[in-house]
Parts: sequence; C-alpha cells; structure tokens
Amino acid sequence: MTSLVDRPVKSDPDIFETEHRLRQGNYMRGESRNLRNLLEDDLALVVSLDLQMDFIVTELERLYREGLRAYGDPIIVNGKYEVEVREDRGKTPCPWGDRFFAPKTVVSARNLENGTILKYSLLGLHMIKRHGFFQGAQSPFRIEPSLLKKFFDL
Amino acid sequence: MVSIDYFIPALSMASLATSLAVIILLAEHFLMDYGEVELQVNDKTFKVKGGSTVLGTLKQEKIFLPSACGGRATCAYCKVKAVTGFGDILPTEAPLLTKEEVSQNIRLACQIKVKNNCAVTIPEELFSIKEFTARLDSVEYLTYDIKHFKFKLLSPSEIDFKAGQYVQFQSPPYGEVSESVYRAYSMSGRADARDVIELMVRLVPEGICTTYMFNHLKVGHEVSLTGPYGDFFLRDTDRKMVCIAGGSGMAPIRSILSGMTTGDIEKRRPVFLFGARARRDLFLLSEWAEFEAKHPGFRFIPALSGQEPGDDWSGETGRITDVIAKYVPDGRDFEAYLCGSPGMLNACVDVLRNLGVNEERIFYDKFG
Ligand SMILES: Cc1cc2nc3c(=O)[nH]c(=O)nc-3n(C[C@H](O)[C@H](O)[C@H](O)COP(=O)(O)OP(=O)(O)OC[C@H]3O[C@@H](n4cnc5c(N)ncnc54)[C@H](O)[C@@H]3O)c2cc1C
Ligand code: FES
Ligand SMILES: [Zn+2]
Repeated sequence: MTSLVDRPVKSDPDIFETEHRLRQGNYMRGESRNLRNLLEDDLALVVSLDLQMDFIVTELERLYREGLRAYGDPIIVNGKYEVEVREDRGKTPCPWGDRFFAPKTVVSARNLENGTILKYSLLGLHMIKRHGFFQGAQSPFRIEPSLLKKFFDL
Repeated sequence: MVSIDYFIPALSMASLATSLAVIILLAEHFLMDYGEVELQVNDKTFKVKGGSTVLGTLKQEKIFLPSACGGRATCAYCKVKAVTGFGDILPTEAPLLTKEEVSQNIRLACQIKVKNNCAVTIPEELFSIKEFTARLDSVEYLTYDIKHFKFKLLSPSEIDFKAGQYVQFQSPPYGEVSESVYRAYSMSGRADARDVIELMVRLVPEGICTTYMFNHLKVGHEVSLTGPYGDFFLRDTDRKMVCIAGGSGMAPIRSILSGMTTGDIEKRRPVFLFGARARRDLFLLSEWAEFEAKHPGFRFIPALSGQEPGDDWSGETGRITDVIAKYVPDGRDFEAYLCGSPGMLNACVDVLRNLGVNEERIFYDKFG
C-alpha cells in the first residue's frame, strides 16, 4: 500500500493562497503546473514507483539524527550511507503557514553501495511529510521521488 | 492508498473563497479611502494615512518590527499587542497565534490594517531600531565559502550598537528570485567604528540571500539594513571568559573581543576556542596572532576536527567540545560566549554545564 505520511491539502484552508506563497519563494520555480496538478502528479509518481512514504520519511529522519552526531563532519551510518549534516543559523517558516519553523539544515547522503547521492533539507522533509509536497520540478530543493527509490535500493 | 479525488472538494471550495477574497481586496483597494487616522504606539501617537498594514504603517514612521517573511504571514516575528481598533483574528493570522496569544490580543502586524484610530503596544527597544542605507566598500574571501563584507553607512551615517548584536540584511529580488528577503548577520567590526558595518557571511548553497551577496552584490552597490537586534553582547563583569565559535560564528566574537580595553582583557583573560574541520576553514590567523601579541592575557586556540592531506597541523585537534575542558579548568569562574551552528552550540552548552559554568552565564543568540 502506498500512502503519504500525513494527509496533504485537505487540511489546508486555501491552496491558492499557499501556491502564491510558494511561488514567491523558491518552492515552485519554473513550474507551469498549478499546485494542485503538481501535488497530483507527484502523488501519482509515488504510487507508480510504489514508494512506502512512511518508511522513507522515517529513514530520512534517522539519517539526519545519526548525521547530526558528527557536528558537520561526515559519518558512516549502518555501513551503507555516508551522511553529512550542515547546519546554518536561523530558521525558515514553512510556507504552508502551519507554524512550523525548520532549522536551516541540509543533509547530504551517499549510498556507498550504489553511489546515489541525495540532498534534502529539514524543511523539504517536513513538506513531504506534512503536505505531500516534493516542490516544483526546477526548485533547487526538490526531492525527486525516483531518486528516493534509487537511494534506498527499493 | 491515497486517492487523488480526495483533494478535489477542498480545492473547489478554496477556489471560490480565493475569488471572493480577491474581489474584496480589489474593492478595498479602489473604493476605500480611510483618510488620516491616529495610530498610537505605546505612548506615542502618529497621524497616518489609513488603509495599510500596521507593519507597513509603522515602517513609514521609521519603526521597524522584526520580520523574516516580508509580511506574508509565515514567520510570526511581527507580533504586536492590539489595544484598540482592530477586528477579529483573521484566517491568515490564526495558524500563527497560540490560544494564549489570542486571549492577550496579540496580532500579526503584517496582517491587521490601520483603518480607523487604533492603538498597539510593542517592546520598547524596537524604537531604537533603524533602517540604514549603506554602500558596499570592500569584499574579500576569508575562506573558500566565507566572505568579509564592509559597508559604509550612508543614511543614517552612524549606527549605535553593542558588540555582538546583529543586523537584518535585505536581499532584493534578483534572477529567478522574485521576493525580497531579510536575513540576520552578526556585525563583526568594532562597535566604536560607527560609520561602518562589517559582516562575515558563509555561502549557503542555493540560499537566497547568500547567493545574492556572493554572486550579485558588487563594490559600490547600495543596500538596505535594519538593526541593531539581539541580546548577545558582552556582560559587564570581572569573570574570566571563554568564547567558542565555528565558521562565520567568528563574527560577533571578533566584534566583542576587539572592542575590549587592554585593562579588561588582562582582567578577564579571554580564551577564544575556534573549531574548524581543516586548515582551509581557518581564517584571520595573523589578525588573532597580532591580537595575542598585543594582549598577553588573550589566547586564540583553533582546533581542527578532520585534517586534509598537507595540512601540516601542530595545534589542537578534535572537535571543539573535546578541547574546552583543557582551557576551562574550573567552570565556576567563567562566563561563556558562543556562536555557531545549533548542533555545535547545544553540545558546547552541555560540556560547559558539566564543567560547572552556570547556565545563566552562557550567552548565545537565541534565534540562532
Ligand atoms: C541571529 C542570527 C545571526 C546570524 N549571523 C550570521 C552571520 O554572521 N554570518 C552568516 O553567514 N550567517 C548568519 N546567520 C544566518 C543567516 O541569517 C541566514 O540564515 C543564512 O545566511 C542563510 O540565508 P540564505 O538566504 O542564503 O539561505 P535560505 O534561502 O534561507 O536557505 C537556507 C536553508 O533553508 C532551507 N531551504 C531554503 N529554501 C528551501 C526550499 N525551497 N525547500 C527546502 N528547504 C529550503 C535549506 O535548508 C537551506 O539550506 C545568522 C542567523 C541568525 C538567526
Ligand atoms: S512579517 Fe512574517 S508573519 Fe508578519
Ligand atoms: Zn508545513
């Protein structure tokens, strides 16, 4: 079964207001689809790739926690992933307006067995988890579902 | 399995609501003239043109409330206490206010509008924050990803700040970035050089403001800054000092130490522990060596956590947390000033506490 971890959109009172905010930031850069279509397309992609998003989000959170212990230095997790957590000062408010403030943290991880590199920020992870939002195709922080599949050897 | 149909009803309702909101906004814009009204802020009264948000109206009056989202109701920094003259909580405010705040009439200044005589209260210290126009006079690389920016203040021409405080830098729209953003940067120069603002900025890959500063901002350009902000500054005591930083966190520590008098340095015997990964992450070594030579009571201790080939390093090694105990033998005598990434900061606070440093004597930017 494929599920997004939390139900997106339904709890959002005004998706157009949200889309406006996302477009003002770098979240939907170069994206010709509207937010609704983008969410639908990514959901369809997740379904077609048969991604277990609950599992993936839990793993991404775990890699972050393990990586954090090295205070910015690279660290090997489970003998399989090289993880480096970069923290900058400050927080970014989630543009979905849900009072979530993400630390400015980016996790860079490499699957040592197949060489796949994945970069994700804590805000990006939150937006997938809470809003089912992977970001626009040209957003610098888009998390590509197919890359997740490759990264976790799924 | 999440069905796509699941989204649709919410979307159609949202579409209707948005259309109505747009019509109301347009009507307000073209039809409403609120004329001149009185806005009271604490004990000051301003005659202002009605119709704009409290945030925008106060800015016109040169009162700068903190804001990180440019008034888009996502950062919640712009809170004020509404005393009179504002209606019910708006849907855009509700998600950012706690029940307690609602009961205390706390509102988002970027959302509520000045439409009739009204009153708000704000923290008194916000009155001393100014907006500055400044010109970039010089910029140089300190490391491969940290730059030192020196701005000359144009208007107002001087800033009154305490060493350790920060400014908010406005990054204008550029390239594909369509929004202005505001980011905090600690001032790294001496507080008595009042016509200059120095910043040390580390490039954040794909970061909006740092990409602007590294790739678009050129010597001679004018920029906008507000400040000073923050309660990270030197406390006036006789206690020994340990300062700990990494990366661009050197900025406020440099400002604090370089502003101390010779007498204070001899009395407080500051030690500055600076953590870096490799030699290429160290900077201003000769400046700190000169400072040490001038002030025998001061020590600069860089530590490398992971050297690179050819680093040829004979100084301290290991994480900065591993080095602290050697220089803080009895924490009860010390005051600590920290600046760096949140993870490093938390780890240092734990170590310092275990060494006996009173938590109330450990200072850092809480917003950091
Ligand atoms: C009190 C204080 C003092 C500071 N002083 C300094 C200083 O002296 N020097 C210094 O270099 N910095 C300092 N900072 C940090 C600085 O304010 C900025 O946060 C930092 O420079 C990054 O800004 P940016 O606009 O370049 O990056 P941003 O655009 O804010 O991006 C930063 C991070 O946000 C996340 N993010 C952004 N967009 C997205 C997206 N679309 N999807 C997912 N995640 C996203 C990522 O994690 C990214 O790495 C300070 C911060 C505070 C709070
Ligand atoms: S300015 Fe960010 S919420 Fe008001
Ligand atoms: Zn959110």
